[in-house]
Amino acid sequence: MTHNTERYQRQLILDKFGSSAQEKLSKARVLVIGAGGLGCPILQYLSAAGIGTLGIADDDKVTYSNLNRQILYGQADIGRYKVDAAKEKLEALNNEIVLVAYKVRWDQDLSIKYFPNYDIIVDATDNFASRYLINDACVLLKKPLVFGAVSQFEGQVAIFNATTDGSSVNYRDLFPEPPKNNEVKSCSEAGVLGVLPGLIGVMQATEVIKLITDIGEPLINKIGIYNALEQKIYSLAITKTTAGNNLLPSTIEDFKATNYEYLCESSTVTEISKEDWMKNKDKYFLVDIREPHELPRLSEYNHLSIPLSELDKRLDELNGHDIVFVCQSGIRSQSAVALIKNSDFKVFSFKGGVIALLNLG
Amino acid sequence: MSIEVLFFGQLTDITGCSSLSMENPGTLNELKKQVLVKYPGLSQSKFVIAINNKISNEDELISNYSKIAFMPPFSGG
Repeated sequence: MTHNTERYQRQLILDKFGSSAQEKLSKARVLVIGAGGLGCPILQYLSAAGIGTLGIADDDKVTYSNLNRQILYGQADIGRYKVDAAKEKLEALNNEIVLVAYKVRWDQDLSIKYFPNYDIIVDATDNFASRYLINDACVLLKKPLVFGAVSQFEGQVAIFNATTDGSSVNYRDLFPEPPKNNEVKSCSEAGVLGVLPGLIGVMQATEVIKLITDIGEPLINKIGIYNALEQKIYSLAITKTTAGNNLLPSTIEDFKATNYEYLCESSTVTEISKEDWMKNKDKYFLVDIREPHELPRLSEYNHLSIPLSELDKRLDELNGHDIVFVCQSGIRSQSAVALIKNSDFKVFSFKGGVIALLNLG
Repeated sequence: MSIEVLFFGQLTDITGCSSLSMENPGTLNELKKQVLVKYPGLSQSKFVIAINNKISNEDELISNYSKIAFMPPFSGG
């Protein structure tokens, strides 16, 4: 195997690195799931470093709200699939590596089919359903997992499942069960500083390179927490737990039968877009859960007003209808859905809220 | 004798601070109890607790000057 020595010159001259490490990188196969805030810097640096085969998985398209942190994309990419734009940029960066794009939302079947093709899996997703699914798949299929996650001004990095002597921990040793919908806010609700996923993604890429080339002390069985406001890094050792172990699917069949979206109450299951709502407007009863002072009013659409603060007392007004809750931006309406999820009628949260409905965005 | 308690991520939305020092309550369970009395909102949150950089899954004695970290799961990417 030959590699372009000029391209990699700066790392080839490193004492602990050299051509043998470069050779290992060029033979490595790494799958990055998620081409968003974390995925962009991971993909850029791993491509630049000369990882032989790089898989990119994502089913999303680029939007304006991505551009503060998803630095592979520009304004001209708005509306394009992320994997298409990413592959194009990465090919322009390094044409000596193989890039494989998966334009899909990652699931159990894909894990079973494609994980065996890769040496390392990188979790760069943005929701718990995907994180638990990928974690469980890596345990079942015995693949090292480089985990990264962000929230507001902080981020986490860890390596799970990287040893073969039985000492490996995984995400379920930290948090055996996924949090419920309202226990942890996502970035779209709580926000994230643009540079933060960049920092954490670069740390993930660093751990991938350390794992492949066997240098330094990778964060195996540890979780690093980075705080951007205080410029501090903490590293916590993780121990194996029986609670975590008991909740892992023990067979491929168990794994395939697990409904991760449901377990994590992902908001994606219960959201309805303006487009879909318009098609079935008569089927659903629109309920505005904003407080009375919130503007603009929804005068042009037939609806009922029940402020979220009164919802649990006025449930009887909803009986017998399939309901779409709408709030200002589509976040409180998810709480409303969670509140009455066990009722015998269907409930949805209006994606993007009144802002989307009235095209105010 | 005091210990230092650290809060990470969205837990600081509830506590309003990322660290505090307090008297050593002796055990992890007792510490948890005292922290929940001080910040009742934490009972709705998911977190793990680490004593001196090691995550602890059961009750343990806390030695003086320990650093105790409360860490929630992060989902964003």
